[in-house]
Amino acid sequence: MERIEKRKMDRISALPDSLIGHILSFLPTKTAVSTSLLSRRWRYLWQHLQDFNFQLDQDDQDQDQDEGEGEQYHWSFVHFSAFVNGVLVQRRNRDIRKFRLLSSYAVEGSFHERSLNYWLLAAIGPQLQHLDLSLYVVGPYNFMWFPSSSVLRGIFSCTSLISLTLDGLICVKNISSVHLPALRTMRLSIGGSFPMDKIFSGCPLLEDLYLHFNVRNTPKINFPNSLKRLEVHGCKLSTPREVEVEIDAPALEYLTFFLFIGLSQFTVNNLHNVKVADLNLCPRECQGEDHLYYIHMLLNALNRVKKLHLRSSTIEVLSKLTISHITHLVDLIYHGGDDSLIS
Amino acid sequence: MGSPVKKIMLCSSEKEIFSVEEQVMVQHSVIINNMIEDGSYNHEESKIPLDCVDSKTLKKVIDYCTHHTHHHNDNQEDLEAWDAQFLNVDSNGLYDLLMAANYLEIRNLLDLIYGTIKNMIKGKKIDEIRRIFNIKDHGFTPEEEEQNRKEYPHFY
Repeated sequence: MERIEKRKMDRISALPDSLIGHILSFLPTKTAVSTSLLSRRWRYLWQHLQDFNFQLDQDDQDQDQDEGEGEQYHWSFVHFSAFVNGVLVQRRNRDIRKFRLLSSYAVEGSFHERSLNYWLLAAIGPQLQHLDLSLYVVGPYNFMWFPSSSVLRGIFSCTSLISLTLDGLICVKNISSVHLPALRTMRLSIGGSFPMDKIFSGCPLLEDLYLHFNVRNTPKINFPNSLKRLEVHGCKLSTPREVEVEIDAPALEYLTFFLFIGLSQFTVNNLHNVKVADLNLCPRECQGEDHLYYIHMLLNALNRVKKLHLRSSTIEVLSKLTISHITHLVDLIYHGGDDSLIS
Repeated sequence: MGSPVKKIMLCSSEKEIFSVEEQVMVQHSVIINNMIEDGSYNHEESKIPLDCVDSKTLKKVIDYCTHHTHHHNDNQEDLEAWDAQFLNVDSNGLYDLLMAANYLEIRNLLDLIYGTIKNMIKGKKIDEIRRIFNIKDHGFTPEEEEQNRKEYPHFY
């Protein structure tokens, strides 16, 4: 850095607009917009942004508010909202390529919900390739976003979309149809139930799936067979329910499977290309004969795995199983109850 | 092993000729890969003229491509350390490298440089970035600058 400071010329500002625009696209939008204060050269460059990354979190909280906690969150969101609206109105390039929105504050009433709907309608378009929404609440309000039907339709029929992340307090219960022909990467970690089968069947090229779900109202999961990487975290709600799972993925190479729920039926096929697997199955409360059988079946199907992680509850049933058939195994890693490496 | 390594010739803006393993450049540069694939490069007599890339920069670009071809199996830490050392250049050097990588379409080198410049901006105040980029004359009128500082004090 010292060497850079000593040079006489400002070469970075001399870069062509398109290259500076590319640099700005990697920055949080707030930072990208603030470069307009650098010099006249930089003043309007951000307006050509097609990649947006809006973040509202603790760092953005207004320090000098005298109001109570709730008021503070309220004003933080209102200011954030004014900023997002200002950026979306002033941008010159109408087509958004990447839209990322991360918010950990909510406000009461319909203001929040309507803001989110408007922003999403601005983002959805024929050039949108990456959509990433993470909504959480640290404030005093309960919140769950129910996207409007036109927003849901827009997201789930966006033919240019390559990656989609929906994380947090978002409800996508009522999707009429799903058509995401370009989607490769999907990360779903949202509250409530959602029509998994409908979503998966509309993503013919899906390669990378991260799924975090509650078992409530999820009777059956049929994973897409185009997958190369799959990470599943299934959580049990208070009432024990069982879920039926089917995996048939000949291209799958990485499998992470953490299920803290009972399985009513488990079907695995074509897992011979899995290289790395990390398993935590069969919680204590549902270690019936069936579960032993399912784990045995899964380990059998993973017969070409090179690196196998086994977590605490899976190990408990291992003594009754034999894994000698996994001839290509290079690394077998046991993780103890506290997830530390014991062997 | 037996067959000789295929070479191609690159010509800098100073007309200096660099002979490089074809595979090294084909793997990294979209433009050169296209030239070899569509047959527009003749191994007997062609030189690829790079009129906007000077010798010093071209040598660095070739170093980058060669290292990443022969060391792509190294562990991530070693590669990152090498990259950091490689990009320890002044802003003139960074500018030249970015223009060359952009011209030759060397994607991983582009990403590396973009990341470096991004980090020169991220988390910094305007005055600090001006110093790093050497922005001596911001071009705003004194009134505009004063107005900006008053309106957005936390950015300065």
